[in-house]
Amino acid sequence: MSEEKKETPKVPEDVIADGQAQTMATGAYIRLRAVQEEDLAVLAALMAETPCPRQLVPWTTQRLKKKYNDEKEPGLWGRQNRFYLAVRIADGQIIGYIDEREQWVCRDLHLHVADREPDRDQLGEDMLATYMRLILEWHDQVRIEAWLLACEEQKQGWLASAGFEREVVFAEMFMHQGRPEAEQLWGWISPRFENGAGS
Amino acid sequence: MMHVIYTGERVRLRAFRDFAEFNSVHVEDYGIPDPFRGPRWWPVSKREAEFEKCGMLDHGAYSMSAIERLDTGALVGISGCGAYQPGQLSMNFGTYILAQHRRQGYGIEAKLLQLCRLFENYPLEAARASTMKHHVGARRSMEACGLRYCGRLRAIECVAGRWDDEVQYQIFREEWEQLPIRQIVKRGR
Repeated sequence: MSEEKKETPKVPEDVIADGQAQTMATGAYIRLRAVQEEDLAVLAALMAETPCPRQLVPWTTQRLKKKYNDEKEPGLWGRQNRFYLAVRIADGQIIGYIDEREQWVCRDLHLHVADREPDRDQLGEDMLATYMRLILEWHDQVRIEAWLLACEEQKQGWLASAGFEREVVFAEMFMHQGRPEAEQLWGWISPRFENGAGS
Repeated sequence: MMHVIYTGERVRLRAFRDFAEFNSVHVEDYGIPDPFRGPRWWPVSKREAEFEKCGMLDHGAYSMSAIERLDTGALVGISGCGAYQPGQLSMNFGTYILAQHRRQGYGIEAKLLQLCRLFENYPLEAARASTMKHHVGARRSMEACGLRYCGRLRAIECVAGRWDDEVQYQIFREEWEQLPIRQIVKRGR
């Protein structure tokens, strides 16, 4: 009986041991890693900055710390809900995050890059491209979606460049800066289903 | 004052009398495989625990009302709506009609009454609903209530071996204000 020799899969070179938080993937300008306790103040500020939060309750370091220390799912890394930090390679600063919620066959994203960054488009595109590469390298993903407000025009550009399509526009969904704002849903589906889904 | 009972020409929306009545709908809903969603299950103990909290009527969680036929008093289904959060201008809603009462217009009137309940009690600008792309009956019923198509989520669910899309519909407050149901609806007992 001939035994087929299987090669051990190689971990990509951009997955780097980095103290307690492993760098999961590296892009051109950012690297993605999980959250550590000392990141919470910066992450809470970024979460409070995004105009389209998951919950209409303001994020503070205190609230986020409580979520981080959650007994069932500590570390902002649960079975369904996970946070990825985008760290700029050049200076090690946390510049953005992806909040991923896994539901059935879909990963539902909320993403943000600090408004103050002058090269926000470059960083945002790189963050999303790096995340997509990470997911598709390790998962047979069917669908990924992202929710944002219509006024978040830069994010729409990042999603379009990563292969997402604008699927739904819900007009007058939330109050934003004193007026009703539309919410958009952008979706990416695996190329395997592009010609078959819903046809 | 928030009304719980909304009455139209053929059905009314009201709170469930007790858990036995609430459970009777789910015995069919979860007992028969749904051709659009496949086999599903909601354990009776979980249903009961949910019901005991607030009788399935709560601002902060998904709410469900009974749909009752006016001529016979029979329970024909469930009308549900999503949780409400301050600052939100839109809520989603849905309808489930028991098999023997389908295709008789009860679902359409129940949706119209639910729209009255939502727009009259919450500071909403819009209400939305969804179904699977191939569920033609549900799509027609939403269109009959004045909802308009606003997009589709591709490959959202695997239905009987193939990926199907979910279609989304929406109606605005000013559109609901023009609907004839507003001249018909009776609120309260």
